[in-house]
Amino acid sequence: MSKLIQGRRLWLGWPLLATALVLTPLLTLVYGGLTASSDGWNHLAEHLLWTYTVNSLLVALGVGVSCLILGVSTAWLVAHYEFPGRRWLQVALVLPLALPGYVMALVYANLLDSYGPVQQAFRWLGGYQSASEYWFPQIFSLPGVILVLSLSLFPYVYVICRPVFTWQTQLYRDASHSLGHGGWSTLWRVELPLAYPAIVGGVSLCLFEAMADYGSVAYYGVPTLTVGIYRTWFNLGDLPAAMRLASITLLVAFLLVLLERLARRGRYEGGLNAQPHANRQSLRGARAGLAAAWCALPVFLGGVIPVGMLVAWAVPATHGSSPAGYLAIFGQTLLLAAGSGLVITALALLVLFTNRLVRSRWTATAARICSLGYAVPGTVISVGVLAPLIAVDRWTIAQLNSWLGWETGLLLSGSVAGLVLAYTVRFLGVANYALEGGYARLSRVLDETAFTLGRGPRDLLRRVHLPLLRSSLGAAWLLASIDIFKELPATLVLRPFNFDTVATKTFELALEEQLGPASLYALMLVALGLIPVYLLNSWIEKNHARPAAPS
Amino acid sequence: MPALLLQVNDLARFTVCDLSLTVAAGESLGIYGPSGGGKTTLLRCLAGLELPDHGEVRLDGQVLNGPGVFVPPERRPVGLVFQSFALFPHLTVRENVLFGLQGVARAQSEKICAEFLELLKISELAGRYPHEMSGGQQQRVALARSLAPAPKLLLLDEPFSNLDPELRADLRRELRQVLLQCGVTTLLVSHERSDLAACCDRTARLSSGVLEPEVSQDALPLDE
Repeated sequence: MSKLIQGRRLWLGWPLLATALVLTPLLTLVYGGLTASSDGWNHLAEHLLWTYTVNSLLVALGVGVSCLILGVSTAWLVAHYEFPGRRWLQVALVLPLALPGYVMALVYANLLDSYGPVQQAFRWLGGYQSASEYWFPQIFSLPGVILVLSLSLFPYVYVICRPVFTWQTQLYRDASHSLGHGGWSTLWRVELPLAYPAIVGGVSLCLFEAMADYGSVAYYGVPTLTVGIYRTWFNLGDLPAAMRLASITLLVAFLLVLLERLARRGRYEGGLNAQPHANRQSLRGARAGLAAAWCALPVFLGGVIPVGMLVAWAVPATHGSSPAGYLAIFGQTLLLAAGSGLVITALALLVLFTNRLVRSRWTATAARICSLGYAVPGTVISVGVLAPLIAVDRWTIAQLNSWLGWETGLLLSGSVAGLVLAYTVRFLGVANYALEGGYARLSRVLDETAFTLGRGPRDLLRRVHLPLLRSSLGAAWLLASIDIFKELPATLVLRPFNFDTVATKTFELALEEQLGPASLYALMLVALGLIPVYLLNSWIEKNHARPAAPS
Repeated sequence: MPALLLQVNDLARFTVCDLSLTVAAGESLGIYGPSGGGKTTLLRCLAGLELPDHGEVRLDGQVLNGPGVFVPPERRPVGLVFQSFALFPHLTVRENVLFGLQGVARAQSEKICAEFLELLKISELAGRYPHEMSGGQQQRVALARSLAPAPKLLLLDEPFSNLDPELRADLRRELRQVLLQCGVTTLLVSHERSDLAACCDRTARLSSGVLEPEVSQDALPLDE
């Protein structure tokens, strides 16, 4: 190992710890997938595995295609054309991201099922007496899941593609026009190929999220791999079978990561410094109306209507009910999310700081491993965390019993510590991503200056990096905390007995069809979800409004 | 004849090949040469920011680099003024200068800071942030910051390259005076010979990693 890191070896403990935290559950699943066996598994493999896998892939595929169409088309329209409401829609198109998939599922289930206002209106208009007299699309179905998840996830594609269409492809668009190509030809032959890496990135995020979803599929009764894992563990109590199922889900998730890498390999990755649109082409008449309607549609379906419905359902629930219970759950969730976010951000900072300090291939790989968890569904992580925690608990209980004669229950599994551990594995990548951006802007010369002025690594971190990375640290903490606030599947599996969060409460009340209280909790999720949406919009403006950012 | 302060033997790193040089205490040596010739690499090796492939560096008798020895940059009594000045953007001028004075009693460090701000004629800028200053002012702050901890060896990497020609001439003169006043041993690298003529006792040319026979000040042309 290089002498340059002499006296800094202790720092290597941080990437080592983080890598161990992330890899332990994942390797446990791989091991469990290869060795665990039970009667339950034989039944699963024979009767249910195929259905689970096919449904998961169909959900991912459907969501991927819908998000591709919605995200790319809206980003392209607001980037290149002027039409009524464009400025407002440009911002509003990010809003649906504030609604978790399971909240969207709750809204559309109650909106579109046979007792919902849409079918009531349909019956009234058609003069029908009951739902059996006509055909209406069934929301509690696989297409229903695709619909609600697409409305919630398409902004990922939009957010990533909009800056590319606005600032990066403009020069080449102009060149194409000057060579006689029209709008459509330029789109297919120039802009889409140039935006390809961004599109693949955005769609991949949607695929990961769709694969990871538990709330919507469970609520709509669509048996996917995540639902299977949860049922196998909670309903059958069969951890070995749940682990094998989780390991298959892990394999599918990593295949998606591999596909994404392959799809992006060797492709041009942007970096053009063309001028942003000085004058967008103005659309008139029907074309302007169509463009505005197309962009407004996902905003209404994914933002305005769901929020409006939630408010309408929540208001009656506030009458006569005490806010104390809601506030207690809200406060408890906030504390858990903010505290876990702090742990995650601190760990991400220490991993990236060590990587910068030591600059070795090993620490760079460790930093990448730490981001792996984000591609893995929460249900899978929770099973991966649960198995080693139970093993540790059993060992500790046996030791306490044999040495001290104490008889205790489970210590770590089913505790808040287990929950924080699962969140760390799942969301370390989010904090890493936010902090990497900050570090990329922090010149290494500042580190070297601190060293030549006699300051060691600890001073460098405390007196230079911490103050200069303040906003990135804030963003990392906020994004990780809000993701934790909304997290459902891992919380459902690992939470302590009688411990609720806003997300679990929303989900459980929705299952019990207590629409009012469920909507109130859902609105809390939406309100907090708006913060990263706001940050995302400011980030796009700040990082892309000036094509050549000062170094 | 003053004692040797810096001894470099057979140093090699990237383009620098088996370089040897000596600098006497209080002397200022200027090294010039084309870009990519290894000037900055040499300074970085002396500061401990780069690990040489082989070779030995001794400063005032202490081995900083050698077989089995590597003193990390923060423990070397070596100051470095970077080409880009590298002032900490979140600290004021005063705080930047105080940054290197750790382990010194507060009153004493404030006194040292005030002295160097005075010496570099920037006392009135003490409360300003780097972005509120011109390039010339930033260069003075960087110099004050590197001199304040009283390094045995001061390294200057292209200290005038970010300045306009008029300011450059003034600062060269002032730098020479400051270095003499502090009596610090200095190694300055620049691709401009004229920088060295104004500031250094003697010069050497570093090209493709090889240090060529030293040129006396009198024989030194002002520009290539």
